Amino acid sequence: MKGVTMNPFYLLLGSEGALADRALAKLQAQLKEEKAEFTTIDASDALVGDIADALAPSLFSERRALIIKDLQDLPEDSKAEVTRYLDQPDPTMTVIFVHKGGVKGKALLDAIKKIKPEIIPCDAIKKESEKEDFVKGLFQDAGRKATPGAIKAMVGALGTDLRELQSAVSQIALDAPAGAIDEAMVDKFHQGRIETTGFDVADATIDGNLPVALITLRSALETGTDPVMVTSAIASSLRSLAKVSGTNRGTKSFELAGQLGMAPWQIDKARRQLQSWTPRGIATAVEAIAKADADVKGASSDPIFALEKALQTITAAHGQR
Amino acid sequence: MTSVFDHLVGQEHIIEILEGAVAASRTGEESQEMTHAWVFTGPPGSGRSSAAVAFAQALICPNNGCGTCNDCNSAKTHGHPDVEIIRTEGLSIKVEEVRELLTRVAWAPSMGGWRVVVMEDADRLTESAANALLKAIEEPGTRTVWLLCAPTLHDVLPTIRSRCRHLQLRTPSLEAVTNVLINRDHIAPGMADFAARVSQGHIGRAKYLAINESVRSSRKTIMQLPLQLGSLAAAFQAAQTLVDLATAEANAVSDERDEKEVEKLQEAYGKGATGRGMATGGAKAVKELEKEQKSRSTRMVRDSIDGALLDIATFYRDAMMVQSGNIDSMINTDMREQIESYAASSPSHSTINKINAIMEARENLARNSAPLVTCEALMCQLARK
Repeated sequence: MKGVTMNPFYLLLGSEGALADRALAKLQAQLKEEKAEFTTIDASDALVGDIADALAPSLFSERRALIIKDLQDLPEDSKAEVTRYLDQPDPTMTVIFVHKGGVKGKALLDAIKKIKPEIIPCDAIKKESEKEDFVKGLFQDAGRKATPGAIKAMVGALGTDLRELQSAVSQIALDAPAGAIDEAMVDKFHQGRIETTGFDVADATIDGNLPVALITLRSALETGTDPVMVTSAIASSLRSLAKVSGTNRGTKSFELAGQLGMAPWQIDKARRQLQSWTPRGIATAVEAIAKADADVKGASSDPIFALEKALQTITAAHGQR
Repeated sequence: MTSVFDHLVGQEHIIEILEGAVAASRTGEESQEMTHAWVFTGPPGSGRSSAAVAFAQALICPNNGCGTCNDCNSAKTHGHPDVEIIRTEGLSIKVEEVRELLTRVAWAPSMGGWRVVVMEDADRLTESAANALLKAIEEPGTRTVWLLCAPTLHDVLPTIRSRCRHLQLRTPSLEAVTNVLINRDHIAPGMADFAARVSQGHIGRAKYLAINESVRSSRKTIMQLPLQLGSLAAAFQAAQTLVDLATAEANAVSDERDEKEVEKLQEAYGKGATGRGMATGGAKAVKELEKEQKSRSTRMVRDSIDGALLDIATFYRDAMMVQSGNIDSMINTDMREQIESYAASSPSHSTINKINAIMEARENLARNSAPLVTCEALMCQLARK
């Protein structure tokens, strides 16, 4: 048939929605070039007959495409409509299946795999390097060049949510002035935001660095860390300090590990931190964090302010003689 | 003749009033002595709810509360149609529950005498629930009596307490509690005296302590904690010990009960029977029960830590007594020497600060703050000279 260069079947398989979206967008762009007319069906609300209808031969044999999203949720009654079509495909038609993977709707998935569709894997990305490749690809799609530093910074800032990463890349690609996108540009867009947790706040606080502690606290809260997690992280750091303070300096950390219920590296870290803490300072700090914990749980009307005040008290207790 | 009021310990002043009210209620005439709404207040363990239930029994019993007849027994075990005992293990009594209750209490008593509603935790009524009660308490059915229980009058809305006659229970005296433990529970006199003293008038707690060796030993460990705060690491260790012991004590009670409840529910859904196992919905119901049990055990652990903190407070209370030259009413006589030497080494104003710190920590725990951190901070405060 004239003008048909695409496969009759595609299968986007995997749980990472962002990847599936991206692959789908590419396929749709190709289909548009071939002037195909397309129909999208969400499998979860497909009624009996919907799919058969969309797959029925066309009167004028124009180029057509059908996209079935969330194939794993397809109701039992509609499955036969798909399998029947698999036996007798229409050459003017391209069918794109989007399936999240897993065991749900496995029989249908196996039937589809048998007719050898082009499978595009969309598995969840866990490794940093894969995420960087993903971002690099996104920039390429958008026709922009980005430095490796910029890509690393993007992943560091928004790496936990690929969709968010995707939209951030598309925004920066559209808005940044011409030329390669570098780290400074990413910083400008994201103001140095990095993903932080309660433990980062705790580390800065125990080091007595109030400005860094406050900034990390704010960015931890912004990125969705619960205030309770911050108080418990600080409390557990202080607990480590107190436990280690009672031990003999000469004893090796791995010998103490079992007795204190801490990992050797934690003991070494606590020992390093202890150099600028006195018992009195730690006591003051624990009292402050216990008060902050009660405040965060509702004793105070402004939990964030209560936390900031506690950080201030604790950093002031650091280095106190 | 036995009477339901025999079980109330050290509350002679109240028994007299209640017996008068029961006698007046028999005459069928309007009188000052009997009224339609009462509120019982008293410290925990003084027996508010026992007093209210005893009064309910006396009102519906043909023998003025013999404690042995069918009516008396069924009233006590939620089995009497005219006696309603409202008790909650949750955190509050909600307005829906009260509204549902109101439709029932308006009926005339089915067995003749009185319809009695005992509300054991009137302090746990939400504000809207208390307001829903107002009208019913103000103008109850002619044969309906309301008996509310609360720790203090301030725990009940002013609009409610103004409609009730107030009975204040006393903390039973040391001798009274000791006698009950010896005569009722057959506990050796020495042990009874010890248990009565350290539980400060809380009869239930005293009995629990007297019959449980493990509870006594963990209490002993906890009472030593104030003397083991020599260094920062020791203070943190003390906090850990306190939380661990209290958690173990609470779990010892709840684990067994939880397991039984789950087994019973599974049985109700057909587990173990022939066939295909539990009926549909069984797994879900079990899951819900387990969730409920988890919140209950959180509360039990918290209550248990609270009890341990109160025990520690008695150490400082005794120290303060010694510091002010009064050694006769010491609670922890078994630790006399240790307390005296502590009292001599520390100024009395710091003892007061420490008691305040304990009370503040209890308040924070009640607000759901993290137990371990709260105890660590408290121990650091107690470690101060």
